[in-house]
Amino acid sequence: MRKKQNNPTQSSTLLRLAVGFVYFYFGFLKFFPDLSPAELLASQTIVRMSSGLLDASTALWWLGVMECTIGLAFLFNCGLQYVFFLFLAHMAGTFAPLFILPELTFKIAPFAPTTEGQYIFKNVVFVAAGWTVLLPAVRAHWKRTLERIRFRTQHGPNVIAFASPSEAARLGRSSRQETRPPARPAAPIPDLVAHASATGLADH
Amino acid sequence: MSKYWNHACVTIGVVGMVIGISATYEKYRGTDLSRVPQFDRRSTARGVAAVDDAHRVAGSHTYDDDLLALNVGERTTDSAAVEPRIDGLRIYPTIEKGMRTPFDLWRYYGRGVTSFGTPVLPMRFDQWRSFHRKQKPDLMRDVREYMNRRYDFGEKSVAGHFMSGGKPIMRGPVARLPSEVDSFAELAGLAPAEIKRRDLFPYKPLAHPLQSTAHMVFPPEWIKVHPDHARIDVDMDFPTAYLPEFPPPLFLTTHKELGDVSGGVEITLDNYYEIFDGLLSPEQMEGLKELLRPSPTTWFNQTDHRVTERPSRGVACFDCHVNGHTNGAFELGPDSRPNMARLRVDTPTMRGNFNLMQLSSKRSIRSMDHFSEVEEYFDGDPGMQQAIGPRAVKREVTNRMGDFNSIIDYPPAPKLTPMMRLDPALASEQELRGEELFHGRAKCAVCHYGPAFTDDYMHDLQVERFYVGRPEGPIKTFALRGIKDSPPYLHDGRCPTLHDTVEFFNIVLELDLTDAEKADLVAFLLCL
Ligand code: HEC
Ligand code: HEC
Repeated sequence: MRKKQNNPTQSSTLLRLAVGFVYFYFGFLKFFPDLSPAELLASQTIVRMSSGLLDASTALWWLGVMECTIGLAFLFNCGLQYVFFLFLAHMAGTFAPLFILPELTFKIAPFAPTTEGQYIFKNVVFVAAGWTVLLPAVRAHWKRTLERIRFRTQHGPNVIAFASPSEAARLGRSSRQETRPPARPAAPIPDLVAHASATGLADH
Repeated sequence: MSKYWNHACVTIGVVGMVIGISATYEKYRGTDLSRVPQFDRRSTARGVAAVDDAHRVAGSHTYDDDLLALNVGERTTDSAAVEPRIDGLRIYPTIEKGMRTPFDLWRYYGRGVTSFGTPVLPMRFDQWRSFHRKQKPDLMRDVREYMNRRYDFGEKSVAGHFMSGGKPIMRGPVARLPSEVDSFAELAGLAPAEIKRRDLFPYKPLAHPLQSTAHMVFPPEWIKVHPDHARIDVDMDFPTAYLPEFPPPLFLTTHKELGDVSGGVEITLDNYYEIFDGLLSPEQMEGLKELLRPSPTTWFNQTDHRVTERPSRGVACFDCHVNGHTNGAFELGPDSRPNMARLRVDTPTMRGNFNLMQLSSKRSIRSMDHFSEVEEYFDGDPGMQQAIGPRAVKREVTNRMGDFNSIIDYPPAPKLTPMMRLDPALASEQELRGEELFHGRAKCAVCHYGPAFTDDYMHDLQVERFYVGRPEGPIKTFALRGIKDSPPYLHDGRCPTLHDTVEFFNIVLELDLTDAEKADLVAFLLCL
């Protein structure tokens, strides 16, 4: 059972790579004027949403940056806990033309889309895929962070927290907390991993 | 270990894509699929030789030195003059018909997807209408804001001077100076490169406020009488005070004794017969009728491909050239593609067209008959004309339109003698000083002379020396006879008053005129 979970064809790895590929690919196209087929819809939407503050080419450039960032994060499986929010914002943005430019996205709103409209609607698959890939990691990360913050407000900055009893055990500690020797002031924000490796506690 | 292996694979994939897309883009640019022109290095080398030749030929003529300097400049030996001049320019944004375009379109360049138009809207007509209902209020708010940022339309008039029909003439300069300079004099004292670098030039071009559809935009006074020309997508951007009078008087070369033959009304299909029967020849009558007969255009017609609420009968020549003059309606010159590269042009008068050897700002059309055939009803696209409903006029009919066109006279200029000089007995001191400058230090008469005050050439004023923008190239020297009647000035109307025009030339020709001299010049222009 466990072994099967690690098989990339049955875990979310392929999904993650697929989402990353599409984001990076379509995002990178946007750096080349006139190459991306989404240029019209994307730039018009952003120009309108920013009420003219961004011109079309600047808008497109920033969109390219955003999509490539998301794509790379997915592909390399890093920073996903932060990129999650970028991903959500981007996904919300991709649906905006349905409301901002219904004339281009629907033959008859809201059930007869144009090709562009269909292209947007299919993004629900992306939302679902992103959600599936990201949610476990993101939930764990922010849960840990919250716990850490809660812990610090309870115990003050000189106390190190472990993410879990098992982690404490792994690092050879018996409890979930321990008082730091006063001689060594704690870092302003205790960073578990950094601290663990700095003190030679992390074993790889 | 396998994690690094995975990352290595993904990295190779990403790098492969980056290289692949970049290489493909190089192939794609410059093909007819792409809107990004690719410049051929070899043409640069050929170009240098061509310009050198041109210089030699020009140099062998006894050509006015000033003019040569204006046309050719010091750049002849400098290969920069023939290299693509796209520094600081951006590629035109991707847009569909009806979508908003940047107001500073002169800062963009590129080619179109195709030269050929289609009579198909990008959406159904009811969607088109609702799209514009949403877009127009925002667009017009931004247009007004933009125009007020560029110009101070304070509606102050010139005391004691009126257009031929009595409308007050607006005083200028109304172009706003950037906050970095205190006066036009200070600005004119700066070198062109400096003005460009610091982005100080107040007379940059004007784009069509909605250049994706563009086409004819009529002034409010006209629309009040002809509501069928109200557009669902865009309105006139100039205040009425800065436009020609409506309806303007009409003078005929064949009936000077009658003065204004229009009787103060707009000449229409309904009243032309009554007004002109017994005054015009049958050929001229037919020509006038044709000038008054509306016919479909790209965007004013009976199809869905239109910018009016209801199907429209179309547009007549005299809907813009009201009473043979102009009401200040504007459109785009039909002479370039993509549409975003077309220059905005406001309607010139037809008065005195009989004296002109070149018609239109860039096309150098050589006869009025020819002009009546080509005009811009279909934006220079015969395919659209075929699709939407042709303005099918036979040659003998356009010739007759030319026949009427040929007798539309200038308004009276009582202070001018037959030699087109001021009569000292009638002109004021200031006007005489202005005339002196016009023919002398201000160099106006280098290009503006003769009965129409034009040399009938096209000149490249190289205004792009003063701002980052796509060069506009040669433009015809517009005639100055009767000039007080046809604001705004220059092909696109970027100079709302004569005062602005004088400031424009003072900067562009680097004349270094004093404020008093500029006032003298305006006083002279008001006499023409
Ligand atoms: C939008 C309203 C409009 C209508 C309708 C119109 N014109 Fe014009 N006309 C213009 C504009 C704008 C120009 C300047 C074109 C250019 O610079 O390329 C012009 C230029 C001209 C000129 C050249 C004037 C010059 O000084 O160079 C002639 C002649 C002329 N039009 C005749 C006609 C005739 C004949 C018709 C009818 C078949 C017509 N126009 C219909 C707007 C209009
Ligand atoms: C090198 C030739 C040249 C000289 C010198 C020149 N002009 Fe012009 N003038 C032009 C051209 C070309 C245009 C049309 C430019 C355009 O529309 O962009 C023009 C347009 C104008 C117009 C606007 C006409 C209209 O119908 O909109 C006025 C007014 C004018 N000139 C006045 C002057 C005055 C005053 C001077 C002298 C200070 C002067 N010009 C010197 C070439 C010249």
